[in-house]
Amino acid sequence: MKKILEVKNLKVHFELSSGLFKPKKVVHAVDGIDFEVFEGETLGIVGESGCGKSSLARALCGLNKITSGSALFNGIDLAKATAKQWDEVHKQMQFIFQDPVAALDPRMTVAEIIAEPLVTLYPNMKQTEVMEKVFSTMKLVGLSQNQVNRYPQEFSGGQCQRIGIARALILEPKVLICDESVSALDVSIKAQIINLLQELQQKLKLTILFISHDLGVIKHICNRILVMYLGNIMELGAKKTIYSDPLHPYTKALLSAVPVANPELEKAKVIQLLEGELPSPVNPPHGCVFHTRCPLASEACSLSRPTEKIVREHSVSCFKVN
Amino acid sequence: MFVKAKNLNLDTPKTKGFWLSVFSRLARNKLAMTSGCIIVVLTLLCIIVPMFSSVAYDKTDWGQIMQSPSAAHWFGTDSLGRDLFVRCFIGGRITFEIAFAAAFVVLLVGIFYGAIAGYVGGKLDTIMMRIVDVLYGIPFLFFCILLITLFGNSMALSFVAIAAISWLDMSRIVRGQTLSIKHKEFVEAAMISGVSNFKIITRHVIPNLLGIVIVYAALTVPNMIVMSAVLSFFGLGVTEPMTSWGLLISDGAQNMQAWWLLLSPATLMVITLLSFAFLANGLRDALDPR
Repeated sequence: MKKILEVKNLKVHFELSSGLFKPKKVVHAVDGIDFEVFEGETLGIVGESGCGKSSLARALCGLNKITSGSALFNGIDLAKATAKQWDEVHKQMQFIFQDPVAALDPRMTVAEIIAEPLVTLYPNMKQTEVMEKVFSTMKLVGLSQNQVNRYPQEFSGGQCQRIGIARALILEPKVLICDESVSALDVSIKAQIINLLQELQQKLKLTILFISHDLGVIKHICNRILVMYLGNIMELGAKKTIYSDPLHPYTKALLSAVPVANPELEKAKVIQLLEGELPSPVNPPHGCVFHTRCPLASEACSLSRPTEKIVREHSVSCFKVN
Repeated sequence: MFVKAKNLNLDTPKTKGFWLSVFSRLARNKLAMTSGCIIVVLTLLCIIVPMFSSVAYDKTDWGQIMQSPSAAHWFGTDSLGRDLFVRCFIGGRITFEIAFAAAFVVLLVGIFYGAIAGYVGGKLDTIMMRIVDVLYGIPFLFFCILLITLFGNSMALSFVAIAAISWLDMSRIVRGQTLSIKHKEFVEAAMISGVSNFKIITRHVIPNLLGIVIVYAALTVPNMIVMSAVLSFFGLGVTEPMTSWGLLISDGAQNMQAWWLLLSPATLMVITLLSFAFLANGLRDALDPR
């Protein structure tokens, strides 16, 4: 399989301004991660709130600045890309937002919203050609042509998300980043949008980076799963093995928290509770970032950061896993 | 805008645009509509009355000094025998001219200044807003007197003075709104679509600001009227024989025994101010229906 995106030691830090004379505080949102994305796969990124998964996604499409490291996409290093190169990147990598309604400008019609990326990135395209594309994309995502002159507030959440998907797809991108794209939808609509995404992926040979905290959704849609905690990768592996054979103590805890639909099984299940709170990304713990809450932690974990190693086809960052 | 689906001769049902639905909500608010009509009528009167009146606003008639309202002089005459009816409307014309022109400058400068400061953020925002803070510190009347001593007394100057002080509020309001709009996802979506910053401001930020800006503009105009009245009351800006509502009121306040001198311009001004307030209120309700 061909690599489409190669992320190396990527860091996304935010400076907190805390007054003129106080020392600057730095939020280590993404703190040195490495992974690859292969063409045509769906990579799921999971982790609790505040673990840096959104910062990562936003950095990959230019909404956050990359502090250091590199992210190679189609020969362009996103960490050093110029404005022109970003235009090229945006033609091939698009983003689907969490809140479907907030992602659409309330003052624009559906046609204007969907056409905006096309009109901006291909300024010489003819008006009729643009509209043809708008209509074909609308059909693709299951919107009807006669909705083209309406405003977003006249649509339901699910339809708004379809409009958002149409806007992302009109450029015929190779990669789609979905940042919690179904979390704001109710269950039946969620299923529709997930099925639509899977359908589109097959039709258009899309590569999808699917970010979610919902392990059920991730299990349904992804090929490989990347587990993040406090800006670091804990575990990365194929879906089947991650769900059936989690190695990292954090992944185990995360999976044990997923509710089971069968009440008897749910009662019998042992939930592995993590102690304490998520440490602040302003001062991440020394050594392994997870050691403050890890049931297996020992002295050695607080001294140095574990490097990733391959155990039973997973890539795991933990001293205790062999 | 930049895509015209309407030109494509499609069978697409038109839905009410945003502004059309705002207007239909506004039309249902009787108080606001009445106020709007009053403003339009007053504006027209201010244009028409001095044009077609048989007496000029500065024509003195020594036989008709301090006459109370009559069939010949509907609002009475002043201490120089000038017809107050014509003077009220020519004064209104000047007042409206200053108010509308200043409001226009305030809108233009305030929106762009605030939108740029809010959208760009960071150091530029800090610098731009500190400039606003410093200008806020200058007392209005002191600033006007300073301008007049430097450049001499004229009507244009009072307009400049008012505009120069009033855009500060607008820029602050616009900046605050821009800050909240900037982090909305549709702006980020536009960034990912490669839209330039300037276009994001003009295409996404400003149209979404317009609601609050229109309401504030409707509240700004009466503010300007009061300010120009205050200036004229102190004898700054508009000078005799030209007049404005402020000047007429000041004149009337000095001759309280001739009640009509105060009553007519004051009534006109109060009606105008109230109308603008009700219109702004109605606009606010129409712009965000809850």
